[in-house]
Amino acid sequence: MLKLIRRAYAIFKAYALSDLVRSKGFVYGLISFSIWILLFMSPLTLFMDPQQSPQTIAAYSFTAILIFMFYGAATWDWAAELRWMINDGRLEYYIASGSGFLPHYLGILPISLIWVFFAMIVNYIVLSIVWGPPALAVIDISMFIYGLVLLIINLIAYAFILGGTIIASGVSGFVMEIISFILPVATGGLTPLSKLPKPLQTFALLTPFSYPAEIIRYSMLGWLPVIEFPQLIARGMLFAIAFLTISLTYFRYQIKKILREGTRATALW
Amino acid sequence: MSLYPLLKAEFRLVYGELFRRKSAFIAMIIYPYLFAGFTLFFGYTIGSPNLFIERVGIDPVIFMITASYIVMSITAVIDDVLWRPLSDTYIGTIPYILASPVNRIKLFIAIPIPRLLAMVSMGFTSITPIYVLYHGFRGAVTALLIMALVALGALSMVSIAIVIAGLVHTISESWRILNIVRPLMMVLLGAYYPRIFMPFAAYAISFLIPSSHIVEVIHRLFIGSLDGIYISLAIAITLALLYMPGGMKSLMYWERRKVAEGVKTY
Repeated sequence: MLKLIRRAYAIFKAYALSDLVRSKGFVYGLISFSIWILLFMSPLTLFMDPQQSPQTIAAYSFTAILIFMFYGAATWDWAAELRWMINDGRLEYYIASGSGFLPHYLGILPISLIWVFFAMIVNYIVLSIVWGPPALAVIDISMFIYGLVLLIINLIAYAFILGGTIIASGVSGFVMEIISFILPVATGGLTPLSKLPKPLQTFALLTPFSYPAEIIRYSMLGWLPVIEFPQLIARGMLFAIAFLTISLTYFRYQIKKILREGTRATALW
Repeated sequence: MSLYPLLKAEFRLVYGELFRRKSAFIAMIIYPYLFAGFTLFFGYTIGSPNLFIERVGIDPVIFMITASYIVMSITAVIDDVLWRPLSDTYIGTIPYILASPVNRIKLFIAIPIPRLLAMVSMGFTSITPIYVLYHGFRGAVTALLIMALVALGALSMVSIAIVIAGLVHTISESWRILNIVRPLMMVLLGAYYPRIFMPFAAYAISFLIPSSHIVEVIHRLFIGSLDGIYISLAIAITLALLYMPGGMKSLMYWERRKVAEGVKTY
């Protein structure tokens, strides 16, 4: 256990120093992120009813971006990390070291969370400029934490599936980008399920992603979910655990496969 | 060296990769729909399409698919110019480029042309089906006109992209700066958010971007307000030409710095 913590800390320190302290990329990345928000958010003002409170719209956008950022972290920080490992030739070393990937991911997880935290501050500032300060109020803190835990479990599971697929086939960056765009929209990550067309709503409820999103939206915006709370809570956890179990099995299978067949080459993008 | 062999080489490079990597090819087709779908989805959730039509004068579906197509096409062109020096650095070909007798400005003009053609042709899979669905045969004709305008808009960005590329690549971690410059240019283009709604400062900067005038022409075509569109086209072309000497100087500056400092290897 102590060894695991030491290894995770070493990874955290290395990444924190290179990504947060030494490199200016952290700041540049946040500026770039704020401009991308502006690009896609500004046209939305053209749809808005002048009677509608801009701050409510800002709060809605804030929540959607928060969920989207977590998807982004799962795709680009966790799953794509395996891609970088293949490209840098580190994957083989990890496998040969026998330490597994757990210390590595425990080390980079806080970096992702720090990044999401700062990105959300930038998001808040940009939305305040476009629409005014988001009218945020956590109305149910326990539900918010529960929703966040479910979201993280689901995203770890999702990263396992994506990561497993990357090491098995060398999926291109384009494909990952498309998945990270479509998935949050199709599974109700960005929009309340009540606002989705019926078929999409049913589809979203069949995926584990919709439950934490509905819980977070309720706890931050007060928007009522489409199903009863006890069902939402129970089904959310059930789906999350099932998803995590399946994805872990899949990932282990892919690792075994590359031990037999070797890793795939990945394209630059 | 004339432009022709450079173009031939660039065409081989770009199309070879495009057809070899099917996923990238498919992504090119999907992206305009993805961006348009994303903004429409959000827009319809928080507001109403009627309000959009009232303000902008264009159906949001037509507007967003056109905006996404414009942004994709123009991004592809400026990306090719902006990223090529970095790509050459990564793959180790930059010393050969610097040592070669190739005319730099001709090379940088040739670089974006193949992808520009590919991206403009993507109009057949993005805007054309939507326009035809909405306006029938007239829609197909409009799509051809928009594709021609977007080609002109993308071409008009080559010189300003060269100016930026030359300047940015003399700085370290230039790719991070590019990640700021790219979306900023996309915002100021006015494709997703028309220039008339921008605050004065943003409008003034937007005025300096050649293709923003072409984007305005496209919007005007949709609303049927054709007054002064030739002036806008003339401004775009004039700006593009005005940036060319700056582009040459910028490239020479970049080259001198690279030769003086030496090329980094990865």
